[in-house]
Amino acid sequence: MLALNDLKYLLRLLAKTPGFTAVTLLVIVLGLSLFLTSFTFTRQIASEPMPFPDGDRYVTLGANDGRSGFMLQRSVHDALSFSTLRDNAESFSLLGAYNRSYVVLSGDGFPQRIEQATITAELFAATAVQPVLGRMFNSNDALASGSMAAIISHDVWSSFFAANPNIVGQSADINGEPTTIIGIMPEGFGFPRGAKLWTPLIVSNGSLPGGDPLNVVGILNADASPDSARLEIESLMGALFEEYPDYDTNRVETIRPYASLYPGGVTLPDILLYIAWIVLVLAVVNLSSLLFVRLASREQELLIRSSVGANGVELVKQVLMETFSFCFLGLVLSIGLSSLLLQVLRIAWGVDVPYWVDFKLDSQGVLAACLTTTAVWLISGVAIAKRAYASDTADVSIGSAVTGKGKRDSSQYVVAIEVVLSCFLLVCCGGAIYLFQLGYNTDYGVESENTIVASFSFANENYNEDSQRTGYIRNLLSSVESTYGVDAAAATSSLPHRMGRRGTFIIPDIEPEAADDSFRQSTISISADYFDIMGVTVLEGRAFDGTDTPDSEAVAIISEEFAEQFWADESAIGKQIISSTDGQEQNLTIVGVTSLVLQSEYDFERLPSIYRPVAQYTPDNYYLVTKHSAEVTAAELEPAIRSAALGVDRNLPVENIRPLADQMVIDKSGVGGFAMLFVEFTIATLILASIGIYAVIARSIYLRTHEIGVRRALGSTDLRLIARFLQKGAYFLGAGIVFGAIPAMALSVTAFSVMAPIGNQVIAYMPTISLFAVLIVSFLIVIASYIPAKKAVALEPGDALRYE
Amino acid sequence: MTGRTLIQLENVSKTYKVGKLESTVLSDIDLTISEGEYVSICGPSGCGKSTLLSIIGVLNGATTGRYLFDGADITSMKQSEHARIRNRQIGFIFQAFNLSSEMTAAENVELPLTYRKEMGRKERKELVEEMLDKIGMTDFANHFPAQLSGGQQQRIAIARALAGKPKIILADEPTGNLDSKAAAIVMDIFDRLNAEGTTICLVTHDPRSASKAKRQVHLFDGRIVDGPKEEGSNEDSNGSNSNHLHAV
Repeated sequence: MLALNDLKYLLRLLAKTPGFTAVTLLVIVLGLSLFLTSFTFTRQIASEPMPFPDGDRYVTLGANDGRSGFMLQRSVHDALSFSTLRDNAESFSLLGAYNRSYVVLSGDGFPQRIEQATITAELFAATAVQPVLGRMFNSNDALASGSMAAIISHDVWSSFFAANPNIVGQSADINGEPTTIIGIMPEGFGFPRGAKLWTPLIVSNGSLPGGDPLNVVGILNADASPDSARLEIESLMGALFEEYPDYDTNRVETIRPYASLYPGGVTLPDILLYIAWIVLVLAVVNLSSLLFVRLASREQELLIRSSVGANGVELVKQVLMETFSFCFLGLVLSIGLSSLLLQVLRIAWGVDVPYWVDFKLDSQGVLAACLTTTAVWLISGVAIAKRAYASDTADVSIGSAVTGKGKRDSSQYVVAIEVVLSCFLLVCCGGAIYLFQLGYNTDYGVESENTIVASFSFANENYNEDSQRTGYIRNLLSSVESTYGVDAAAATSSLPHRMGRRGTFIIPDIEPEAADDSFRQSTISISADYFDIMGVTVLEGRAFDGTDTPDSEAVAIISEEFAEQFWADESAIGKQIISSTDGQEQNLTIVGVTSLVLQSEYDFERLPSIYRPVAQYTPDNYYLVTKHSAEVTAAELEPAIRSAALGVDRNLPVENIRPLADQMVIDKSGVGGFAMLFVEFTIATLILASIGIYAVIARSIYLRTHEIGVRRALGSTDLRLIARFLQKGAYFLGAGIVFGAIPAMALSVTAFSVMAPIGNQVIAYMPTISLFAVLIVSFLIVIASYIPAKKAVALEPGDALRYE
Repeated sequence: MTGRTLIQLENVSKTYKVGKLESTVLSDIDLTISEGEYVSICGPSGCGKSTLLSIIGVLNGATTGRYLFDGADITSMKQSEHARIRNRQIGFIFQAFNLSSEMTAAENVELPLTYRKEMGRKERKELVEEMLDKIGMTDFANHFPAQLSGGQQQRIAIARALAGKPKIILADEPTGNLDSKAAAIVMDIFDRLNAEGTTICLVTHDPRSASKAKRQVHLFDGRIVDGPKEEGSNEDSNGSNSNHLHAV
């Protein structure tokens, strides 16, 4: 045990050198807190178990495109495949399914558009989460032929039903159908992700292929692995494909953890965690260096302790206790800082995270912090403990490197490690920050000023027919345009930063190459004034107008990039494309070419967009886009737009009314969160690199003060000596470039190459980013070499020779 | 066999400031050393011997007074000119040898020559060989200091001091870290070098080593005195410092 006197001495020692104490703590806190933040963040968004029994074994059954290998976004199962798997697969303790859609809940108040999950009762019950009021589904609910039963979220209960305690058993209209509310789930509950209303799903045997798509979720048996389960699913699906050739067999079955937001492969969170590890290593190297410097100042004390009878073990205990006190204090501060960073990240990330991801340090995070701190303590402590142990029997002289009685100074290896790690981290983080910055500041090719967006959905039995949908849109636009302050209104099935409905296309006489992405497309339905409102220029041909009707020629408008790709030397107007979306193939005539509008998030993946007139293509979900005058604000217009929509159809409200610019910021919050972490890593790297490189080089030069005296005695000039240290710095920089910057650049280029086209822009700038990173490190090395060297040569040679 | 004046200190003092405290290490030193002389500076510990040698060797500047090296006023020279004098005119030998542990014996000897731009690699190598041969260390040219005994290390240090063909060798307690046998070898080398015409200035507190010199300068409490003093006495035998010192 540490004696009270030792503790007092320790505290006195820390207080005596507040600068050193603060810098050492800063190093530990930076390394540990960033590691903890990344560890917790990554674990929560990538592999946090569901908060249900067997929550770590929930998996999603999906598929990858057999041609491109990309994950198929759509639900790949239907009632037939689900019932086949449910009845035959042995790898799962339960297989359930759900379907998500937007429904309109109406009653006494304003109708509300909410997300509904129609879910198999067994899967919902498997969560073991009980309603706070009412009950779960039972078999009668599922089979009842009369009034439908629904369970609502706590949020819907509070906002729509004003937390009416007697709501259970009462009826409300869902999409105009009377439905009995049978239960209210606890606050925050949201499974499947985002659902706020649940109705029972019955999937009976004997269906045919091509039914409504279903999301299939399984709970793996304890003895089944995702791989073994995938093989079983592959086998069962193979048999089904043979029996029903109508299925699209060009796919590869997949099994992914349900909770993971980033399924499959090496993902951004993984990269983030790797970088956090490297930052931690950098911090440990720094800590060891600083503690070595500290040990140097304590050698006299250790020798005195040794001379009065302290043995090696006691000396080691002394030194390790100081290291421990730094690590312990650092751990406490790191936990506090990590909690804070995680909350900042939570805000930056936005609202679109599963409810079980709370961005809070949990027991596993704290345990990881304690283990990491212990490792940091041992790694940094063991070397200096060894050195301290030597104090028991030998003369430990920090100035012994050049006097002919000492050993080779090992600090140069430490400097090399510092420089290599710093170069590596700065290049990686620089590339990532530039990528996110480009993504965040992507010019989508539209004007967002004085533009409001709102969403609405036709997932309603009253709007099964296209004519009903086009009629609603026509009336909605007319009603909104008549509102005071509104200049124009339009409808689109996809906002500029979002992809449309994915599909494929063929151009007659142009053969698609295998796995060529250019033959995949996204289809977007727009109304006549859309391009005008969004400030998109029609470069050639025309925009859609009243002549585009369901019965007229099927037409499309494409972007200039699309046109350039296929008809570089001729006009695209009048050309034919055969588009396939939602399983429907259609011959389209190109009637217009517009300026480029990016229809993808962050422009990481760019698919050619095909715009279709509302009258000819009417999917389920739409956005109302309203251009207003500068005299009114979005907040002032919101109730007017809401009323205008309710005036058209009380059961089809518009939701999420907000400025387009705000909507884009919300949509980019994820990328902002990542960018924020990479910026934090860069700042941490710069601070750690500055402290580490300066401390180690300065110490190295300090150790050579005597040598400097000798060299000056032998005739070396001050300039030559300073140049000598700068030259050494150049060697370190060389190591940093070869072993740090170049591998980092190669890795970054590999990672960014899959994020075309924005990734290609980053790749083009990687040499500049790397050069900039190397310049920063060079600057640090020059400063770290020049200042201490200048100080050393400021001593008179005679004084330097006497320097101990 | 003495020639023209090489070292001329006039009224030199050295004071160190530590915070508000001033500590005078040397006071009113007048000292002349001519070419070919073998002078020892002796005195008790802390009397200022090494500081005086540092000033002579242009390692430290004097606080007051004037210092002429080979007729040139050191005090008015730039740092780079000081470095040039140390490199070309002076050879240093230290008590702790001050060899670089990362260099072989030959490389240590070569070190001061690397600061001479005009000297080619081949010329340097020849000179190193010559110096090692002169002190009988040719066989140890590729040894590192840690592989040599103390006496051998000091002989390497002597070779390094001689390599630049300096006008004067300044030795600070050169036998202080050596056993008697090794010390005798080193002192014999000094004798031989002086006999060959090398000017030597030796700092020592060892009377036997001091007696080898042809002239002894006695320092006490930072002042030059005529003869050896008892420790603790502040009295100067003639009430002032000697202007010229004479061989004892």
